[in-house]
Amino acid sequence: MSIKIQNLSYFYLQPNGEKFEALKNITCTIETGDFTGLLGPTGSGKTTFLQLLAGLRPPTSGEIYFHGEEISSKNFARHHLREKVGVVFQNPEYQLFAATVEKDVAFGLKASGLSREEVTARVQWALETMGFTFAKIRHQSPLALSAGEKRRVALAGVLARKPEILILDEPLTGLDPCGRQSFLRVVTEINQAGTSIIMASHDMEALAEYTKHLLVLEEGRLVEAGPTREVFSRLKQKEHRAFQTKAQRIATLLTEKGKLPLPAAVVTYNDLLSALRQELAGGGPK
Amino acid sequence: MNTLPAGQYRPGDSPLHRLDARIKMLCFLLLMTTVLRASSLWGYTLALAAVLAFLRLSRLPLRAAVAPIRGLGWFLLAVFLMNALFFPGEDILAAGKFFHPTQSGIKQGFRVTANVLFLLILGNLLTMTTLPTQVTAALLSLLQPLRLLGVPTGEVAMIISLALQFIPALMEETELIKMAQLARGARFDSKKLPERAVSYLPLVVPVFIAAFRRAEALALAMEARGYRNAENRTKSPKEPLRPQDYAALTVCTLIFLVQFFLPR
Amino acid sequence: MSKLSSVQRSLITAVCIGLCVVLPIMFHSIPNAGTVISPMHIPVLLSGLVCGWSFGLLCGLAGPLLSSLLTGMPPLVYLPSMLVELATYGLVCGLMFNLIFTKKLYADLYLSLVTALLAGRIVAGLAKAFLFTPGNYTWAAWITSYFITLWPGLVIQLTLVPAIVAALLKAKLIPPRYPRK
Repeated sequence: MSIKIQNLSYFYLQPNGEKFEALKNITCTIETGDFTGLLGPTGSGKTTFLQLLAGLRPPTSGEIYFHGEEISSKNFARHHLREKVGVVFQNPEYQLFAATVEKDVAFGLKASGLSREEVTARVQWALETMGFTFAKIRHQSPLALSAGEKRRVALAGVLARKPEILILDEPLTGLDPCGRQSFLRVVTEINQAGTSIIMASHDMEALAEYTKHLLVLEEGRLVEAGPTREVFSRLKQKEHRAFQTKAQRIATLLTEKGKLPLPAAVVTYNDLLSALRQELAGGGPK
Repeated sequence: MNTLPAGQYRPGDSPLHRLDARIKMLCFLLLMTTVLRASSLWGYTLALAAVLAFLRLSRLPLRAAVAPIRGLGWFLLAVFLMNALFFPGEDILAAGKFFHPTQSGIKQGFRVTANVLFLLILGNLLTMTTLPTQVTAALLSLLQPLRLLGVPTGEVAMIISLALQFIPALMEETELIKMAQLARGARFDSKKLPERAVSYLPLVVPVFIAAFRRAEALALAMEARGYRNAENRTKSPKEPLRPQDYAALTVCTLIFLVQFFLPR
Repeated sequence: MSKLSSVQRSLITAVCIGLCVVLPIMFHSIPNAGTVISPMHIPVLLSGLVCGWSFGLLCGLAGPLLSSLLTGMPPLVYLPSMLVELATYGLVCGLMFNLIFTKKLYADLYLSLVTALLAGRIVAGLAKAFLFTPGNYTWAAWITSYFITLWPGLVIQLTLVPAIVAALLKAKLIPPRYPRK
């Protein structure tokens, strides 16, 4: 079970009739159970790519195979895909509408055939997974919550449907450092429980630390793909300044200007820390 | 304002394209009343002649100009038949149990279909030869006389031009919201009425929340910059009318007057 | 936020007019939705409720007019009667909501909405009977077009509009009508 993407392209038609190429000839594979990051500056086509993956837009050309089936072919059951792929959009307010948090999270379970008790249990599970106290939050209005809480409720609404693949579009924007940390930890837990995660972000530190594989988009082109550490190391070799983590930059600076030879494999702050320890203490932690 | 949806506008350099938008709108208003006033065969001949003349003046390909009526064939036929067969009248042509075609019914059917046809073509000609920006500018300037009635036309003009600026962004946002809701399991195809009402909520509530947020943000920004009200601010220089504009208006007024005084 | 300023009212009306153009396009792709739900009615009613009668009236006139000119929905043929109908909705809705204070938000909302939706249909019917198509407009046609084919729309608007108002209140985008002491 994997997602195979072949020669995927997409263009928007602008009001003046000109084409805007958002994605150009992308080929890659996303394995089941993986935590895949999607890195790229604003306007690089991340959101469009995710919308195509979720079957929300048909590709202009190219194919996406989900479990070996082509998702834009006529005899593919689109609603089947919607059940298996959950998407949390950049702006959580786009997904919230009900009078209470409980109703909002339960919304996606309407057609699931679950009994009322099962629905409540599922809603409770989803909200608790996202770090809420069920009894406290269930009767509140989702629209009256803080930005971080809104995002977690929106994710709970998608999670409640138990998707096989969870797509997150810029989930870290607008979160404070503490909220960011706990959000990433929850997402990792969901991933470890068996759900594939695809997360778009321009937060390189988060992607370097948490994702297993990384796709890098630039101006609609896939410039790098592979295991996260390898991708960052390759990007460093290519001297691609825009795509280097801060730890990588510090390591480069220390090696070149500070005469501290650090290994080239330093990608995250943790790497940097242990490399520095080893170098400064001479022989690793005692 | 340049990011408005292009609408149905087709670039061109015909006399109709070059006509001042304010005059063009007045002319269309006159011609539309001309069509609606028509009651006799002569009246419809006049209306037909006027529509054909405008079609010619627009220099648009015929296919494009009559595009809105293509596909309406069955609808128009149905309208015609409904009127012809069911319109109450004394002059019954053939008596049937349910159908009783009457002469006045056939006349009425002809009238209704002709009205719809002519008005659709006229409306289409206006939107195809005038840029949306010109349409709105003309609209705003035609509002001016309302100032005499105490209508705050400056305020109205500002609101309408703001609305136009909002449209592209609102469109994009609504599209995203629709996707976001589909992705979380929303379905908009319920059969039962109460359920259907509720099934639109996921789409409609976020659209309004997003729109009101946009309004709030811009209101704050405007107030922060010391904005108070629009009166006496939005005065844009007006282009003077040219002889051909006056000529067009005169011709249309004449057509209208002839129609008005034709024997019914 | 205690009360909406005039700039806020202007901008809310501007987005509502914008939505009069955008919503029909959106619902166009959902089968049957456009005719059943009459999406343009919602922003008009809302601007009347939130901003007052004058803004509701403006939205009811400018919304369908711009939509017709920019997107061809509704076609110009149907525009006059629609202008009359929607302008009355916005106007009456705003007037009623400013007059009725039952101390219960939902009662105020439903009373204003029902009055507005009835008034708009009556005025549009009268306009058709005496102005637009004098002579061949019948009671039967009025009842059929405004109550039988559109009654689902009536129910939907009475469900959606109060729900949107409640959501806007919760999101603190409009001031509360009966603030708690």
